[in-house]
Amino acid sequence: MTAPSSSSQSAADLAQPPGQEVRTVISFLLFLHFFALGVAIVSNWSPSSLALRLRNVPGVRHYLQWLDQDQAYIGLYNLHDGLPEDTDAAVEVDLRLKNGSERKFTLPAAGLWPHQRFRHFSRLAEVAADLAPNQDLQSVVPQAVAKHYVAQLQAEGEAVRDGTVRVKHWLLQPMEAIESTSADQRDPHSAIYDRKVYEARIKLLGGKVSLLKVEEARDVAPAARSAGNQTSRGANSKAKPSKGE
Amino acid sequence: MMGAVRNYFNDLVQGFGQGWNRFWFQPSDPAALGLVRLGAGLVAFYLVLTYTPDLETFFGADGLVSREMLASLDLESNGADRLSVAHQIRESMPRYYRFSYLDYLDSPGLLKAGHWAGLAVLALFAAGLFTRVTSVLALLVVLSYIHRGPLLTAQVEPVLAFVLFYLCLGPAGAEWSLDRWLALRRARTVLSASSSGPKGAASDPPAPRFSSAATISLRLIQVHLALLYVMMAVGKLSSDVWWSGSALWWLIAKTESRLVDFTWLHGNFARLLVDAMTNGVVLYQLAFPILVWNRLARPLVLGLGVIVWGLLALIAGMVPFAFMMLVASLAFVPGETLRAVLPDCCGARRPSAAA
Repeated sequence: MTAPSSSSQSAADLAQPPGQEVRTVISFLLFLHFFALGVAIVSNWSPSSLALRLRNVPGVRHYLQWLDQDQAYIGLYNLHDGLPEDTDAAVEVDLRLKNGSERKFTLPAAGLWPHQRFRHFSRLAEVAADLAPNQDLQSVVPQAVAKHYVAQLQAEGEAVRDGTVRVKHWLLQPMEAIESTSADQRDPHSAIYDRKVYEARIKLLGGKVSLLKVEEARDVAPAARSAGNQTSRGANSKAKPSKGE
Repeated sequence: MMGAVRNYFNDLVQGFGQGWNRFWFQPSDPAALGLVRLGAGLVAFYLVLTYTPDLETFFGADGLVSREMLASLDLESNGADRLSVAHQIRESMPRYYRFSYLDYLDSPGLLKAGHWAGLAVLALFAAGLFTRVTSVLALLVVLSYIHRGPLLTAQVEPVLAFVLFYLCLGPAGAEWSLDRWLALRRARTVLSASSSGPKGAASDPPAPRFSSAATISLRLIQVHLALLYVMMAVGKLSSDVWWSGSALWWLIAKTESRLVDFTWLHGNFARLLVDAMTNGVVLYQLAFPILVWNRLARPLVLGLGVIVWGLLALIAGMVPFAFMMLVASLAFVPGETLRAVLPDCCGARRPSAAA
Protein backbone atom coordinates (compact mmCIF):
# COMPACT_ATOMS: atom_id res chain seq x y z
CA MET A 1 0.00 0.00 0.00
CA THR A 2 1.40 3.35 -0.96
CA ALA A 3 0.45 6.94 -0.46
CA PRO A 4 -2.65 7.94 -2.37
CA SER A 5 -2.18 9.50 -5.79
CA SER A 6 -2.34 13.24 -6.26
CA SER A 7 -5.74 12.94 -7.92
CA SER A 8 -7.17 11.42 -4.80
CA GLN A 9 -4.90 13.17 -2.31
CA SER A 10 -7.67 15.48 -1.28
CA ALA A 11 -9.85 12.51 -0.47
CA ALA A 12 -7.16 11.05 1.74
CA ASP A 13 -6.64 14.38 3.42
CA LEU A 14 -10.32 14.78 4.16
CA ALA A 15 -10.68 11.32 5.69
CA GLN A 16 -9.50 11.46 9.26
CA PRO A 17 -7.78 8.71 11.25
CA PRO A 18 -9.50 7.61 14.46
CA GLY A 19 -8.96 9.49 17.70
CA GLN A 20 -6.11 8.78 20.08
CA GLU A 21 -8.17 6.58 22.43
CA VAL A 22 -9.42 4.41 19.58
CA ARG A 23 -5.91 4.13 18.15
CA THR A 24 -4.59 3.04 21.53
CA VAL A 25 -7.21 0.31 21.88
CA ILE A 26 -6.64 -0.92 18.33
CA SER A 27 -2.87 -0.87 18.84
CA PHE A 28 -3.28 -2.99 21.96
CA LEU A 29 -5.46 -5.49 20.07
CA LEU A 30 -2.91 -5.58 17.26
CA PHE A 31 -0.22 -6.33 19.83
CA LEU A 32 -2.28 -9.22 21.27
CA HIS A 33 -2.98 -10.57 17.79
CA PHE A 34 0.63 -10.52 16.69
CA PHE A 35 1.77 -11.89 20.03
CA ALA A 36 -0.44 -14.96 19.50
CA LEU A 37 0.71 -15.27 15.92
CA GLY A 38 4.33 -14.89 16.97
CA VAL A 39 3.93 -17.66 19.52
CA ALA A 40 2.48 -19.94 16.82
CA ILE A 41 5.41 -19.18 14.55
CA VAL A 42 8.19 -19.34 17.11
CA SER A 43 6.98 -22.66 18.47
CA ASN A 44 7.65 -24.25 15.07
CA TRP A 45 11.40 -24.50 15.60
CA SER A 46 12.35 -26.95 18.35
CA PRO A 47 10.11 -25.04 20.72
CA SER A 48 11.39 -24.11 24.14
CA SER A 49 9.28 -24.96 27.14
CA LEU A 50 8.37 -21.28 27.30
CA ALA A 51 7.10 -21.31 23.72
CA LEU A 52 5.11 -24.46 24.42
CA ARG A 53 3.58 -22.96 27.52
CA LEU A 54 2.75 -19.74 25.73
CA ARG A 55 1.15 -21.65 22.89
CA ASN A 56 -0.98 -23.53 25.38
CA VAL A 57 -2.14 -20.46 27.28
CA PRO A 58 -5.93 -20.82 27.05
CA GLY A 59 -6.62 -17.52 25.30
CA VAL A 60 -3.75 -17.85 22.87
CA ARG A 61 -4.45 -21.48 22.07
CA HIS A 62 -8.14 -21.00 21.46
CA TYR A 63 -7.58 -17.88 19.38
CA LEU A 64 -5.05 -19.62 17.16
CA GLN A 65 -7.17 -22.73 16.84
CA TRP A 66 -10.30 -20.81 16.04
CA LEU A 67 -8.52 -18.94 13.27
CA ASP A 68 -6.83 -22.13 12.04
CA GLN A 69 -3.45 -20.54 12.63
CA ASP A 70 -2.11 -23.19 15.03
CA GLN A 71 -0.21 -24.79 12.21
CA ALA A 72 3.04 -26.67 11.95
CA TYR A 73 4.00 -23.97 9.45
CA ILE A 74 7.35 -25.37 8.42
CA GLY A 75 6.01 -28.81 7.64
CA LEU A 76 2.94 -27.43 5.95
CA TYR A 77 4.55 -24.83 3.72
CA ASN A 78 7.91 -26.23 2.74
CA LEU A 79 5.91 -28.46 0.34
CA HIS A 80 8.52 -31.18 0.26
CA ASP A 81 11.01 -32.38 2.81
CA GLY A 82 12.43 -35.47 1.14
CA LEU A 83 10.65 -37.73 3.61
CA PRO A 84 8.33 -40.68 2.90
CA GLU A 85 5.52 -38.60 4.40
CA ASP A 86 5.87 -36.20 1.48
CA THR A 87 4.75 -38.75 -1.05
CA ASP A 88 1.26 -39.38 -2.24
CA ALA A 89 -0.63 -41.98 -0.23
CA ALA A 90 -3.61 -44.26 -0.68
CA VAL A 91 -5.98 -46.28 1.46
CA GLU A 92 -7.21 -49.50 -0.13
CA VAL A 93 -10.16 -51.46 1.18
CA ASP A 94 -10.91 -54.98 -0.09
CA LEU A 95 -14.21 -56.33 1.19
CA ARG A 96 -15.41 -59.93 0.80
CA LEU A 97 -19.14 -60.33 0.61
CA LYS A 98 -21.09 -63.27 1.94
CA ASN A 99 -22.03 -64.25 -1.62
CA GLY A 100 -18.33 -64.84 -2.29
CA SER A 101 -17.71 -61.79 -4.45
CA GLU A 102 -15.23 -59.05 -3.64
CA ARG A 103 -15.46 -55.27 -3.75
CA LYS A 104 -12.42 -53.01 -3.86
CA PHE A 105 -12.26 -49.34 -2.93
CA THR A 106 -9.35 -46.97 -3.21
CA LEU A 107 -9.06 -43.63 -1.54
CA PRO A 108 -8.52 -41.33 -3.36
CA ALA A 109 -10.35 -42.86 -6.28
CA ALA A 110 -9.02 -42.13 -9.74
CA GLY A 111 -10.74 -39.58 -11.94
CA LEU A 112 -12.21 -37.35 -9.27
CA TRP A 113 -13.06 -33.94 -10.64
CA PRO A 114 -12.37 -31.15 -9.91
CA HIS A 115 -8.84 -31.67 -8.67
CA GLN A 116 -9.64 -30.11 -5.29
CA ARG A 117 -12.10 -32.93 -4.70
CA PHE A 118 -9.29 -35.40 -5.31
CA ARG A 119 -7.14 -33.46 -2.88
CA HIS A 120 -9.68 -33.83 -0.05
CA PHE A 121 -9.50 -37.61 -0.32
CA SER A 122 -5.77 -37.48 -0.93
CA ARG A 123 -5.22 -35.50 2.26
CA LEU A 124 -7.17 -38.07 4.26
CA ALA A 125 -5.03 -40.85 2.81
CA GLU A 126 -1.88 -38.86 3.62
CA VAL A 127 -3.00 -38.45 7.21
CA ALA A 128 -3.64 -42.20 7.43
CA ALA A 129 -0.14 -42.89 6.11
CA ASP A 130 1.50 -40.29 8.35
CA LEU A 131 -0.21 -41.72 11.42
CA ALA A 132 0.93 -45.26 10.59
CA PRO A 133 4.07 -45.11 12.77
CA ASN A 134 2.00 -43.93 15.74
CA GLN A 135 0.82 -47.04 17.60
CA ASP A 136 -1.97 -45.15 19.36
CA LEU A 137 -3.47 -43.51 16.32
CA GLN A 138 -2.54 -45.67 13.33
CA SER A 139 -5.87 -47.49 13.16
CA VAL A 140 -8.15 -44.47 13.53
CA VAL A 141 -8.38 -43.40 9.89
CA PRO A 142 -8.32 -46.95 8.39
CA GLN A 143 -11.10 -47.93 10.76
CA ALA A 144 -13.23 -44.96 9.73
CA VAL A 145 -12.60 -45.73 6.06
CA ALA A 146 -13.44 -49.42 6.51
CA LYS A 147 -16.54 -48.56 8.49
CA HIS A 148 -17.68 -46.15 5.79
CA TYR A 149 -17.39 -48.65 2.95
CA VAL A 150 -18.96 -51.48 4.96
CA ALA A 151 -21.91 -49.19 5.73
CA GLN A 152 -22.11 -48.21 2.08
CA LEU A 153 -22.32 -51.84 0.96
CA GLN A 154 -24.83 -52.66 3.65
CA ALA A 155 -26.97 -49.76 2.49
CA GLU A 156 -26.86 -51.31 -0.98
CA GLY A 157 -28.20 -54.55 0.54
CA GLU A 158 -24.90 -56.42 0.44
CA ALA A 159 -23.77 -58.56 3.37
CA VAL A 160 -20.08 -58.08 4.14
CA ARG A 161 -18.12 -61.00 5.56
CA ASP A 162 -14.68 -59.53 6.16
CA GLY A 163 -11.92 -57.70 4.36
CA THR A 164 -8.59 -55.97 4.43
CA VAL A 165 -7.59 -52.35 4.70
CA ARG A 166 -4.15 -51.14 3.58
CA VAL A 167 -2.44 -47.79 3.81
CA LYS A 168 0.45 -47.12 1.51
CA HIS A 169 2.79 -44.49 0.23
CA TRP A 170 3.68 -44.11 -3.42
CA LEU A 171 7.42 -43.71 -3.32
CA LEU A 172 8.71 -41.06 -5.67
CA GLN A 173 10.53 -41.90 -8.82
CA PRO A 174 14.11 -40.54 -8.90
CA MET A 175 15.02 -38.50 -11.98
CA GLU A 176 17.57 -41.06 -13.17
CA ALA A 177 14.93 -43.83 -13.04
CA ILE A 178 13.13 -42.19 -15.98
CA GLU A 179 15.91 -43.38 -18.26
CA SER A 180 16.48 -46.70 -16.51
CA THR A 181 16.71 -49.90 -18.51
CA SER A 182 14.33 -51.50 -16.04
CA ALA A 183 10.71 -51.18 -17.07
CA ASP A 184 9.66 -51.33 -13.43
CA GLN A 185 11.84 -48.39 -12.54
CA ARG A 186 10.61 -46.36 -15.50
CA ASP A 187 6.98 -46.89 -14.57
CA PRO A 188 6.06 -44.60 -11.65
CA HIS A 189 3.06 -46.81 -10.90
CA SER A 190 5.14 -49.96 -10.68
CA ALA A 191 4.92 -52.10 -7.54
CA ILE A 192 8.47 -51.16 -6.61
CA TYR A 193 7.24 -47.66 -5.78
CA ASP A 194 4.46 -48.95 -3.58
CA ARG A 195 5.25 -49.07 0.14
CA LYS A 196 2.67 -50.47 2.50
CA VAL A 197 2.76 -48.79 5.91
CA TYR A 198 -0.28 -50.28 7.57
CA GLU A 199 -2.48 -53.28 6.98
CA ALA A 200 -5.33 -54.73 8.99
CA ARG A 201 -7.98 -57.37 8.63
CA ILE A 202 -11.51 -56.03 8.78
CA LYS A 203 -13.80 -58.04 11.04
CA LEU A 204 -17.46 -57.52 11.67
CA LEU A 205 -18.14 -58.40 15.28
CA GLY A 206 -21.73 -57.96 16.40
CA GLY A 207 -22.36 -55.63 13.48
CA LYS A 208 -19.41 -53.43 14.44
CA VAL A 209 -16.36 -52.97 12.29
CA SER A 210 -13.10 -53.73 14.03
CA LEU A 211 -9.56 -54.02 12.74
CA LEU A 212 -6.95 -56.68 13.43
CA LYS A 213 -3.60 -55.23 12.54
CA VAL A 214 -1.44 -57.39 10.32
CA GLU A 215 2.13 -57.39 11.57
CA GLU A 216 4.70 -57.97 8.90
CA ALA A 217 6.70 -61.13 9.41
CA ARG A 218 9.85 -59.04 8.92
CA ASP A 219 8.94 -56.97 11.96
CA VAL A 220 8.51 -60.06 14.09
CA ALA A 221 11.41 -62.06 12.74
CA PRO A 222 14.16 -59.87 11.32
CA ALA A 223 15.86 -62.86 9.66
CA ALA A 224 12.96 -63.08 7.21
CA ARG A 225 13.63 -59.57 5.85
CA SER A 226 14.48 -59.52 2.18
CA ALA A 227 17.28 -57.13 1.47
CA GLY A 228 16.69 -54.30 -0.94
CA ASN A 229 12.97 -54.93 -1.22
CA GLN A 230 11.31 -51.54 -1.11
CA THR A 231 7.85 -52.93 -0.91
CA SER A 232 6.22 -55.17 1.58
CA ARG A 233 4.12 -56.97 -0.95
CA GLY A 234 4.08 -60.71 -0.61
CA ALA A 235 5.62 -60.68 2.83
CA ASN A 236 4.35 -63.29 5.23
CA SER A 237 2.03 -61.78 7.73
CA LYS A 238 0.06 -62.55 10.81
CA ALA A 239 -2.83 -60.76 12.42
CA LYS A 240 -2.69 -59.04 15.76
CA PRO A 241 -5.40 -56.90 17.38
CA SER A 242 -4.60 -53.24 16.89
CA LYS A 243 -4.79 -50.68 19.64
CA GLY A 244 -7.83 -48.63 20.16
CA GLU A 245 -10.40 -51.18 19.16
CA MET B 1 24.35 16.02 27.84
CA MET B 2 21.28 14.71 29.67
CA GLY B 3 19.17 17.11 27.69
CA ALA B 4 20.53 15.72 24.42
CA VAL B 5 19.80 12.19 25.54
CA ARG B 6 16.30 13.18 26.60
CA ASN B 7 15.71 14.89 23.27
CA TYR B 8 16.96 11.86 21.41
CA PHE B 9 14.56 9.54 23.22
CA ASN B 10 11.73 12.03 22.81
CA ASP B 11 12.38 12.13 19.08
CA LEU B 12 12.67 8.35 18.97
CA VAL B 13 9.37 7.80 20.73
CA GLN B 14 7.67 10.50 18.71
CA GLY B 15 9.07 9.19 15.45
CA PHE B 16 8.02 5.65 16.28
CA GLY B 17 4.54 6.79 17.27
CA GLN B 18 4.11 8.80 14.08
CA GLY B 19 5.40 5.92 11.97
CA TRP B 20 3.08 3.50 13.74
CA ASN B 21 0.09 5.77 13.24
CA ARG B 22 0.96 6.35 9.59
CA PHE B 23 1.42 2.63 8.96
CA TRP B 24 -1.75 1.43 10.64
CA PHE B 25 -4.16 4.36 10.67
CA GLN B 26 -3.56 6.67 7.71
CA PRO B 27 -6.82 6.45 5.74
CA SER B 28 -6.40 4.62 2.47
CA ASP B 29 -8.22 3.56 -0.65
CA PRO B 30 -10.36 0.42 -0.15
CA ALA B 31 -10.01 -0.68 -3.79
CA ALA B 32 -7.44 -3.40 -3.10
CA LEU B 33 -9.55 -4.66 -0.23
CA GLY B 34 -12.52 -5.06 -2.55
CA LEU B 35 -10.47 -7.05 -5.00
CA VAL B 36 -9.03 -9.27 -2.26
CA ARG B 37 -12.60 -9.88 -1.11
CA LEU B 38 -13.64 -10.89 -4.59
CA GLY B 39 -10.70 -13.30 -4.95
CA ALA B 40 -10.96 -14.77 -1.46
CA GLY B 41 -14.72 -15.11 -1.84
CA LEU B 42 -14.30 -17.04 -5.07
CA VAL B 43 -11.70 -19.34 -3.51
CA ALA B 44 -13.90 -19.94 -0.46
CA PHE B 45 -16.91 -20.62 -2.65
CA TYR B 46 -14.93 -23.04 -4.81
CA LEU B 47 -13.44 -24.91 -1.84
CA VAL B 48 -16.80 -25.39 -0.16
CA LEU B 49 -18.47 -26.22 -3.48
CA THR B 50 -16.04 -29.10 -4.02
CA TYR B 51 -17.48 -30.76 -0.90
CA THR B 52 -20.93 -30.94 -2.51
CA PRO B 53 -20.71 -34.41 -4.13
CA ASP B 54 -19.03 -35.89 -1.04
CA LEU B 55 -20.93 -34.20 1.76
CA GLU B 56 -22.39 -37.42 3.14
CA THR B 57 -19.24 -39.37 2.34
CA PHE B 58 -17.19 -37.11 4.60
CA PHE B 59 -19.56 -35.71 7.19
CA GLY B 60 -22.44 -38.20 7.32
CA ALA B 61 -23.11 -40.51 10.26
CA ASP B 62 -20.87 -43.21 8.74
CA GLY B 63 -18.69 -40.67 6.99
CA LEU B 64 -14.96 -40.85 6.46
CA VAL B 65 -14.49 -37.95 8.87
CA SER B 66 -17.11 -38.82 11.43
CA ARG B 67 -17.25 -36.97 14.71
CA GLU B 68 -16.35 -40.17 16.53
CA MET B 69 -13.21 -40.45 14.45
CA LEU B 70 -12.20 -36.88 15.18
CA ALA B 71 -12.86 -37.43 18.87
CA SER B 72 -10.52 -40.41 18.89
CA LEU B 73 -7.85 -38.26 17.28
CA ASP B 74 -8.26 -35.61 19.94
CA LEU B 75 -4.81 -35.82 21.44
CA GLU B 76 -5.65 -33.56 24.30
CA SER B 77 -8.19 -36.00 25.65
CA ASN B 78 -5.74 -38.82 25.02
CA GLY B 79 -3.25 -37.05 27.22
CA ALA B 80 -0.63 -36.87 24.47
CA ASP B 81 1.72 -33.97 24.08
CA ARG B 82 0.16 -32.24 21.13
CA LEU B 83 3.24 -30.54 19.80
CA SER B 84 5.57 -33.49 20.13
CA VAL B 85 3.15 -35.54 18.09
CA ALA B 86 2.73 -32.63 15.69
CA HIS B 87 6.42 -32.64 14.98
CA GLN B 88 6.41 -36.39 14.64
CA ILE B 89 3.71 -36.49 12.03
CA ARG B 90 4.26 -32.98 10.72
CA GLU B 91 1.43 -31.12 9.12
CA SER B 92 -1.00 -33.98 9.31
CA MET B 93 -1.36 -33.36 12.99
CA PRO B 94 -5.05 -33.60 13.74
CA ARG B 95 -6.22 -30.48 15.45
CA TYR B 96 -8.42 -30.18 18.43
CA TYR B 97 -12.02 -30.54 17.68
CA ARG B 98 -13.46 -27.09 17.32
CA PHE B 99 -16.75 -25.37 16.72
CA SER B 100 -18.49 -25.96 13.43
CA TYR B 101 -22.13 -25.36 12.60
CA LEU B 102 -22.01 -28.60 10.62
CA ASP B 103 -21.85 -30.44 13.96
CA TYR B 104 -25.46 -29.59 14.58
CA LEU B 105 -26.73 -30.87 11.23
CA ASP B 106 -27.35 -34.53 11.94
CA SER B 107 -29.63 -35.64 9.14
CA PRO B 108 -28.57 -35.77 5.47
CA GLY B 109 -31.28 -33.25 4.62
CA LEU B 110 -30.12 -30.75 7.21
CA LEU B 111 -26.52 -31.25 6.16
CA LYS B 112 -27.40 -30.44 2.57
CA ALA B 113 -29.50 -27.45 3.58
CA GLY B 114 -26.67 -26.11 5.74
CA HIS B 115 -24.20 -26.69 2.95
CA TRP B 116 -26.24 -24.80 0.36
CA ALA B 117 -26.91 -22.02 2.84
CA GLY B 118 -23.16 -21.74 3.41
CA LEU B 119 -22.58 -21.61 -0.33
CA ALA B 120 -25.19 -18.89 -0.66
CA VAL B 121 -23.42 -16.83 2.00
CA LEU B 122 -20.09 -17.26 0.23
CA ALA B 123 -21.62 -16.29 -3.12
CA LEU B 124 -23.10 -13.13 -1.58
CA PHE B 125 -19.78 -12.32 0.04
CA ALA B 126 -17.84 -12.84 -3.20
CA ALA B 127 -20.33 -10.63 -5.02
CA GLY B 128 -20.06 -8.05 -2.27
CA LEU B 129 -23.69 -7.92 -1.21
CA PHE B 130 -24.44 -6.94 2.42
CA THR B 131 -20.70 -7.31 2.86
CA ARG B 132 -20.52 -6.16 6.46
CA VAL B 133 -22.70 -9.11 7.47
CA THR B 134 -21.70 -11.66 4.85
CA SER B 135 -17.97 -11.16 5.53
CA VAL B 136 -18.45 -12.36 9.10
CA LEU B 137 -20.78 -15.17 8.02
CA ALA B 138 -18.36 -16.23 5.27
CA LEU B 139 -15.59 -16.54 7.84
CA LEU B 140 -17.87 -18.67 10.04
CA VAL B 141 -18.80 -20.89 7.09
CA VAL B 142 -15.20 -21.47 6.02
CA LEU B 143 -14.02 -22.08 9.59
CA SER B 144 -16.89 -24.52 10.07
CA TYR B 145 -15.66 -26.65 7.17
CA ILE B 146 -12.06 -26.38 8.35
CA HIS B 147 -12.97 -27.41 11.88
CA ARG B 148 -15.37 -30.13 10.78
CA GLY B 149 -12.93 -31.74 8.37
CA PRO B 150 -9.44 -30.82 9.60
CA LEU B 151 -7.99 -33.95 8.01
CA LEU B 152 -9.13 -32.77 4.60
CA THR B 153 -7.41 -29.41 4.72
CA ALA B 154 -3.99 -28.41 3.49
CA GLN B 155 -2.06 -25.23 2.74
CA VAL B 156 -4.83 -23.05 1.38
CA GLU B 157 -7.20 -23.09 4.33
CA PRO B 158 -5.04 -21.24 6.89
CA VAL B 159 -4.32 -18.51 4.31
CA LEU B 160 -7.98 -18.22 3.40
CA ALA B 161 -8.94 -18.09 7.09
CA PHE B 162 -6.67 -15.21 7.96
CA VAL B 163 -7.56 -13.23 4.85
CA LEU B 164 -11.29 -13.65 5.54
CA PHE B 165 -10.76 -12.63 9.16
CA TYR B 166 -9.00 -9.42 8.14
CA LEU B 167 -11.62 -8.69 5.50
CA CYS B 168 -14.23 -8.64 8.29
CA LEU B 169 -12.41 -5.70 9.85
CA GLY B 170 -12.39 -3.37 6.86
CA PRO B 171 -14.81 -2.05 4.24
CA ALA B 172 -14.39 -5.09 2.00
CA GLY B 173 -17.56 -4.27 0.10
CA ALA B 174 -16.69 -0.65 -0.63
CA GLU B 175 -15.39 -1.48 -4.11
CA TRP B 176 -15.89 -4.09 -6.85
CA SER B 177 -19.12 -5.11 -5.15
CA LEU B 178 -22.86 -5.16 -5.49
CA ASP B 179 -23.02 -2.98 -2.39
CA ARG B 180 -21.10 -0.33 -4.30
CA TRP B 181 -23.24 -0.75 -7.38
CA LEU B 182 -26.43 -0.42 -5.31
CA ALA B 183 -25.06 2.62 -3.50
CA LEU B 184 -24.27 4.28 -6.81
CA ARG B 185 -27.68 3.47 -8.19
CA ARG B 186 -29.35 4.89 -5.10
CA ALA B 187 -27.20 8.00 -5.27
CA ARG B 188 -27.99 8.51 -8.95
CA THR B 189 -31.68 8.10 -8.27
CA VAL B 190 -31.59 10.62 -5.45
CA LEU B 191 -29.53 13.08 -7.45
CA SER B 192 -31.74 12.72 -10.51
CA ALA B 193 -34.86 13.22 -8.47
CA SER B 194 -33.45 16.19 -6.64
CA SER B 195 -34.53 19.35 -8.36
CA SER B 196 -32.18 21.42 -6.21
CA GLY B 197 -29.11 19.42 -7.21
CA PRO B 198 -26.55 21.02 -9.50
CA LYS B 199 -26.79 20.26 -13.17
CA GLY B 200 -24.95 17.12 -14.13
CA ALA B 201 -24.69 15.89 -10.56
CA ALA B 202 -26.56 12.71 -11.46
CA SER B 203 -23.58 11.54 -13.44
CA ASP B 204 -21.19 12.15 -10.58
CA PRO B 205 -22.29 10.06 -7.58
CA PRO B 206 -20.08 9.89 -4.51
CA ALA B 207 -17.02 7.65 -4.59
CA PRO B 208 -16.08 5.34 -1.73
CA ARG B 209 -14.33 7.03 1.14
CA PHE B 210 -10.78 6.49 2.22
CA SER B 211 -10.74 4.87 5.62
CA SER B 212 -8.48 3.79 8.43
CA ALA B 213 -10.39 0.50 8.64
CA ALA B 214 -9.27 -0.26 5.08
CA THR B 215 -5.70 0.53 6.08
CA ILE B 216 -5.81 -1.73 9.14
CA SER B 217 -7.35 -4.56 7.15
CA LEU B 218 -4.86 -4.28 4.30
CA ARG B 219 -1.90 -3.87 6.62
CA LEU B 220 -2.89 -6.99 8.56
CA ILE B 221 -3.05 -8.99 5.34
CA GLN B 222 0.30 -7.56 4.22
CA VAL B 223 2.12 -8.25 7.49
CA HIS B 224 0.63 -11.72 7.89
CA LEU B 225 1.47 -12.60 4.31
CA ALA B 226 5.05 -11.43 4.76
CA LEU B 227 5.32 -13.56 7.90
CA LEU B 228 3.97 -16.53 5.99
CA TYR B 229 6.61 -16.06 3.31
CA VAL B 230 9.27 -15.98 6.02
CA MET B 231 7.94 -19.30 7.34
CA MET B 232 7.89 -20.79 3.86
CA ALA B 233 11.45 -19.72 3.17
CA VAL B 234 12.74 -20.88 6.55
CA GLY B 235 10.92 -24.20 6.13
CA LYS B 236 12.64 -24.74 2.81
CA LEU B 237 16.02 -23.70 4.14
CA SER B 238 15.66 -26.29 6.88
CA SER B 239 15.27 -29.04 4.31
CA ASP B 240 18.12 -30.69 2.38
CA VAL B 241 16.10 -31.21 -0.80
CA TRP B 242 15.61 -27.48 -1.21
CA TRP B 243 19.34 -26.84 -0.70
CA SER B 244 20.31 -29.59 -3.14
CA GLY B 245 17.92 -28.27 -5.78
CA SER B 246 15.99 -31.50 -6.12
CA ALA B 247 12.82 -30.47 -4.29
CA LEU B 248 10.91 -29.46 -7.40
CA TRP B 249 11.72 -32.78 -8.99
CA TRP B 250 10.14 -34.58 -6.04
CA LEU B 251 7.04 -32.45 -6.46
CA ILE B 252 7.06 -33.27 -10.18
CA ALA B 253 7.39 -36.98 -9.33
CA LYS B 254 4.18 -37.00 -7.28
CA THR B 255 2.12 -38.73 -9.90
CA GLU B 256 -1.16 -38.55 -8.05
CA SER B 257 -1.31 -34.92 -7.02
CA ARG B 258 0.38 -33.06 -9.87
CA LEU B 259 -1.73 -31.30 -12.47
CA VAL B 260 0.73 -31.39 -15.34
CA ASP B 261 3.34 -34.06 -15.99
CA PHE B 262 6.76 -32.39 -16.05
CA THR B 263 8.76 -35.62 -15.97
CA TRP B 264 10.09 -34.76 -19.42
CA LEU B 265 12.40 -32.50 -17.41
CA HIS B 266 15.05 -35.17 -16.97
CA GLY B 267 18.61 -35.49 -18.19
CA ASN B 268 21.62 -33.32 -17.50
CA PHE B 269 20.32 -30.03 -18.82
CA ALA B 270 16.89 -30.54 -17.28
CA ARG B 271 18.51 -31.32 -13.95
CA LEU B 272 20.18 -27.94 -14.05
CA LEU B 273 16.88 -26.34 -14.94
CA VAL B 274 15.06 -28.08 -12.08
CA ASP B 275 17.84 -27.08 -9.70
CA ALA B 276 17.60 -23.49 -10.88
CA MET B 277 13.82 -23.45 -10.51
CA THR B 278 14.05 -24.94 -7.03
CA ASN B 279 16.56 -22.32 -5.95
CA GLY B 280 14.47 -19.67 -7.66
CA VAL B 281 11.44 -20.58 -5.58
CA VAL B 282 13.46 -20.36 -2.36
CA LEU B 283 15.05 -17.08 -3.40
CA TYR B 284 11.67 -15.64 -4.28
CA GLN B 285 10.18 -16.63 -0.94
CA LEU B 286 13.18 -15.19 0.87
CA ALA B 287 13.04 -11.96 -1.10
CA PHE B 288 9.29 -11.36 -0.95
CA PRO B 289 8.97 -10.31 2.71
CA ILE B 290 11.83 -7.82 2.26
CA LEU B 291 11.45 -6.40 -1.23
CA VAL B 292 7.67 -6.16 -1.29
CA TRP B 293 7.87 -3.19 1.08
CA ASN B 294 10.02 -1.30 -1.40
CA ARG B 295 7.96 0.82 -3.78
CA LEU B 296 10.24 0.23 -6.76
CA ALA B 297 10.77 -3.50 -6.21
CA ARG B 298 7.13 -4.23 -5.42
CA PRO B 299 5.79 -4.55 -8.99
CA LEU B 300 8.65 -6.89 -9.86
CA VAL B 301 8.11 -9.04 -6.76
CA LEU B 302 4.36 -9.25 -7.34
CA GLY B 303 4.83 -9.99 -11.04
CA LEU B 304 7.32 -12.75 -10.34
CA GLY B 305 4.78 -14.19 -7.91
CA VAL B 306 2.47 -14.96 -10.80
CA ILE B 307 5.21 -17.06 -12.42
CA VAL B 308 6.33 -18.79 -9.21
CA TRP B 309 2.85 -19.63 -7.99
CA GLY B 310 1.67 -20.56 -11.47
CA LEU B 311 4.53 -23.01 -11.73
CA LEU B 312 3.90 -24.49 -8.28
CA ALA B 313 0.19 -24.79 -9.01
CA LEU B 314 0.84 -26.84 -12.12
CA ILE B 315 3.60 -28.96 -10.60
CA ALA B 316 2.09 -29.64 -7.21
CA GLY B 317 -1.58 -29.41 -8.17
CA MET B 318 -2.32 -26.88 -5.45
CA VAL B 319 -4.21 -24.37 -7.58
CA PRO B 320 -6.45 -22.85 -4.88
CA PHE B 321 -3.42 -22.31 -2.62
CA ALA B 322 -1.40 -20.66 -5.37
CA PHE B 323 -4.36 -18.53 -6.39
CA MET B 324 -4.99 -17.54 -2.78
CA MET B 325 -1.38 -16.45 -2.34
CA LEU B 326 -1.75 -14.21 -5.38
CA VAL B 327 -5.06 -12.86 -4.12
CA ALA B 328 -3.53 -12.00 -0.76
CA SER B 329 -0.64 -10.30 -2.58
CA LEU B 330 -3.16 -7.88 -4.11
CA ALA B 331 -3.20 -6.18 -0.71
CA PHE B 332 0.13 -4.66 -1.74
CA VAL B 333 -1.21 -3.12 -4.94
CA PRO B 334 -2.13 0.56 -4.63
CA GLY B 335 -5.77 1.39 -5.24
CA GLU B 336 -4.92 3.89 -7.97
CA THR B 337 -3.09 1.18 -9.93
CA LEU B 338 -6.04 -1.16 -9.68
CA ARG B 339 -8.41 1.55 -10.86
CA ALA B 340 -6.16 2.31 -13.79
CA VAL B 341 -5.62 -1.31 -14.83
CA LEU B 342 -8.96 -2.96 -14.21
CA PRO B 343 -12.15 -2.29 -16.15
CA ASP B 344 -14.49 0.30 -14.72
CA CYS B 345 -16.85 -1.78 -12.66
CA CYS B 346 -19.47 -0.48 -10.26
CA GLY B 347 -17.95 2.99 -10.59
CA ALA B 348 -14.67 1.76 -9.19
CA ARG B 349 -12.51 3.73 -11.59
CA ARG B 350 -13.93 7.02 -10.45
CA PRO B 351 -11.29 8.91 -8.46
CA SER B 352 -11.83 8.56 -4.76
CA ALA B 353 -13.35 11.36 -2.81
CA ALA B 354 -14.23 11.53 0.81
CA ALA B 355 -17.88 11.21 1.53
